Amino acid sequence: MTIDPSQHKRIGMLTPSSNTVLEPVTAAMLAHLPDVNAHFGRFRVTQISLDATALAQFDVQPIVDAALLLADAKVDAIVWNGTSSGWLGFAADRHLCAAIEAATGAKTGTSVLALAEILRSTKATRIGLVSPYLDEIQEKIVANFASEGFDCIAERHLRDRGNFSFSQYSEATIADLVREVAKEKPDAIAVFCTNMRGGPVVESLEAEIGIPIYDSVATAVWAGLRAVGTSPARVQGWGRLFREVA
Amino acid sequence: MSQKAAFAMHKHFLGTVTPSGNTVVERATLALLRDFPSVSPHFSRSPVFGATDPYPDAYDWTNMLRAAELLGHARPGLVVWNGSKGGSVGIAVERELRTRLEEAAKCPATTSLFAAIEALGLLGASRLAFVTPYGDAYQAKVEKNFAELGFTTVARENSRMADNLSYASVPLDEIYVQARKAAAAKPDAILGWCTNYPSAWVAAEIEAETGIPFLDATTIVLWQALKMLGVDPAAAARDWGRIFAL
Repeated sequence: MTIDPSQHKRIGMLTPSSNTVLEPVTAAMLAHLPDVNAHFGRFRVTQISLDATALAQFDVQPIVDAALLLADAKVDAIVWNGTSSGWLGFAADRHLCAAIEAATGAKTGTSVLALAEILRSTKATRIGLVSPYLDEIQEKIVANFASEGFDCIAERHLRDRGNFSFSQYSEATIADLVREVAKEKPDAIAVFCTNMRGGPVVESLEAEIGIPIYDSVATAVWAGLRAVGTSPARVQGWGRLFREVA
Repeated sequence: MSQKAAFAMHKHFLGTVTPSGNTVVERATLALLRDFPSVSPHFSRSPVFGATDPYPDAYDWTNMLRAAELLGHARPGLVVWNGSKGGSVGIAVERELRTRLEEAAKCPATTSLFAAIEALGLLGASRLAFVTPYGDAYQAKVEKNFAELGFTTVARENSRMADNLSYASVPLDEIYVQARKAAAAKPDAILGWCTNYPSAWVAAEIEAETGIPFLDATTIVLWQALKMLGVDPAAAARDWGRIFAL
């Protein structure tokens, strides 16, 4: 309690309504940074597919509305802690960030744009992809990564429509999927979904397979810390990302 | 236990409807629940901010219920309104809120006011002192509503602030001084009554010094929530006040 709360950095996390993973994982990652506070704003997400209603969940307006409620708490940064631009195209996140910045004045970041930045700065071009998604979603993600210059050389997906159900896969299941894509020796592996319990398996699994693993909640937290000017290296025990990528 | 091991243990899901301009509720909830690794915290915001409340005698039903519905997508075991507004709108409106939150989130619900009433009953407290950031008129309204519930206010230290966000920036030393002054009237209990007022962080200290129970609006609903979820709240008594051990 030694740090004046008015000096705290506040990161607002845009949260899919049926997500039960990103809040506790974000809180756990930031548990030893008492001067960085996480706040959360929900908007409706219940299903992940290419159906028109499922795609409309990621229209800009409802997300900006949730961002405005975070802005009421005068957060320093607003981060989209979700992976929708994986299938919508990375431009969707760039457009969303511009809209949030215009509406709130806060700094912004997203899980997916952070992942792309991390892959570029570590010169990773051959990637492994693990997700819970349907075939149609996974195909889009692979194509969108390709158009950004990342070659997905190995992937596993669970053909699930989600969204709540994504949280039910065990850490052991996720670890096995990561091990399978690791066999193709990608430069890096993305566990691509913020409602999957990927974060907690990263540290030990990286030691086992010798390949960096970028969990989607972790890349969102990394983006938030960078946006508020706090060194990601202060997050310990959650993988090489925080230690090695500044 | 490591934060990762704690995450793997989650089995109770707690949804919190959070006032949008509030920066204390999430900070207090995440800090307190670190001692309760089986409880996974989730949040949704409803507009409450600034100096004027467009709904002084009721709730902004549309937005409150939308926030609860979005929490319902995460299938929580309990939803709480972590807000002290029940003190100014009165018990009848608060009962309506509880019922409507339960319908919207499809699970049991409670609020800071119901938690305070239960805690005061358990303490056998009828003579209260208030520590709040409010102006005189709002403070009088709160006292009138507690009087209707059978509680007599014997002392008040209200710091006459207007803007909701500014409540959170009051230094703990000032709240501590307020609480000591309020204790001089020898109330049965002191209420820190505003969930954006960080009085939770002085509760244990004030109790140790004065011997008088200190209930904070933000943490008292967590006390009740833990009990409703079937979790023993006693581990929080040392840091957050003796009520947790009762």
